[in-house]
Amino acid sequence: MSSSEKSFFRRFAQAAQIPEDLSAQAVLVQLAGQDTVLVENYRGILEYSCERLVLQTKTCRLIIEGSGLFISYYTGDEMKITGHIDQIHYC
Amino acid sequence: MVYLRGSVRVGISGASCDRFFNLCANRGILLWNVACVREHYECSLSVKDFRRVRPLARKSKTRIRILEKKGLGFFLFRHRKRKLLPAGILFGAFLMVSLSFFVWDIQIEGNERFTEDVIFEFLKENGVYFGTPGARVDCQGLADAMRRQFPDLTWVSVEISGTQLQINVRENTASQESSEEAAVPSDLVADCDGVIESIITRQGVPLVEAGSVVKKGDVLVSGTMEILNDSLETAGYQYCAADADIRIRTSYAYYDSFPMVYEEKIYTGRRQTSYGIRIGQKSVSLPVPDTEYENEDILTSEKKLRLSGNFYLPVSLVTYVRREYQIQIKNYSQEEAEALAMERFQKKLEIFKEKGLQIFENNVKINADAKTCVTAGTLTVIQDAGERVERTRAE
Repeated sequence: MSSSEKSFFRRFAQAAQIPEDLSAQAVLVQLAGQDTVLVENYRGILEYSCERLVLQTKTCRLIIEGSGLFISYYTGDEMKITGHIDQIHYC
Repeated sequence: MVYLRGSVRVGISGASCDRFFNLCANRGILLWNVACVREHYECSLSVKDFRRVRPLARKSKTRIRILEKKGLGFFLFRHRKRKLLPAGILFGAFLMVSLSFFVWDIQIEGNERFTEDVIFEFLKENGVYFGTPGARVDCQGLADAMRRQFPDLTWVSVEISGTQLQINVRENTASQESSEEAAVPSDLVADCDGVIESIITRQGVPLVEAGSVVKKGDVLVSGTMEILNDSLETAGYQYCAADADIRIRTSYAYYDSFPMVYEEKIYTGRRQTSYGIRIGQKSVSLPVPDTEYENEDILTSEKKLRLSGNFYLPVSLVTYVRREYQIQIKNYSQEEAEALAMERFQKKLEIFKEKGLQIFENNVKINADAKTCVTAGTLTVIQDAGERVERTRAE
């Protein structure tokens, strides 16, 4: 997307009052404490082990590191990760 | 819900397990409890989805192994040879339902003067008792019949809820004082010796006044009234029922005694509990080797079994508790005896007071010796006097 298109979409979304996360196609991450993460709007799992989970989203990659990582449920739209979480970063 | 459809826990191993997860997600297959265990991954999915998963596993070059099968379908298959289990469940349910059509408990509330036995007798006469089918009980008819049979009940309500028959009554508590003070000519006569304290005459001619000394049988108020003519001579008599409030002061001899030596039950603490079941009228108790007690109390308590608030079953659990006690012979001490004698005396005084007697003078003495404690003396009281005696028509 060229910068002018991006800004047009953005401006249109703001005018129509569409929530930003839906319109911007961004990944949604909800944290509850240090042991629960709810992630929505991703493309897939790239890597998963007990200490590291790498998710591919539409714009970037999401890396969750910790210990005892356990996926409570996993569907195409939403997933919930439990366990002891040390770091969350994007790259 | 998940249990109803059935779910499977599988182990996934291979080179690109992540690809497998993504393929499942894209096809709309829900996975849960995904865990990474040592070399492989584990996850749960529904049976329906599991059937679709094989080609995906092939695509991602992973191996699927079933670890656990959970679900109603699997459960029934595993126990398919056990025919009696569902049969038993059905029979149990059938038994419960059919039992609920009968009356197993009768509850009576609100009765004071009428004992429950009286009401039970009445119910039995009308064909309603333990074990009657509920449909046969005509609540309205029963309530009407009760009201006719016992006119003292001001309100009767009969209803069946669950397997319990509830009868609520209210009795006519107003005291039934016979107000047949018809115009039967009668006098008021002293019923004891004494001195008149006060007299208020409403009807009749008073023959005594406050301070008069009377003996038992003396006429206090006469129902015969003289009618005087103009020259103040007795022309005739008019009869009425004498009515007056008379208070008389009289004395009673009070005597009470009890022995100084008494037996007291001391529970040793040894007890034995045994149980039994009562079905309908028959009871069976579990045999337990009886330990011999020299003296014992047996306490029997019964608890009716029920499924829910009103669903009583014809079965009750009976508990027998036998408690051993020893008889100890004790002596009252002087103070104890006097206290006990005073307590008994006070109780009698209470009864007097309730009857409307007023204690004027108290000459009662307590005397405790080695063998007995005697309370004796005279009580001077003020009480209502006046016994109604019908006038016999001599003329």
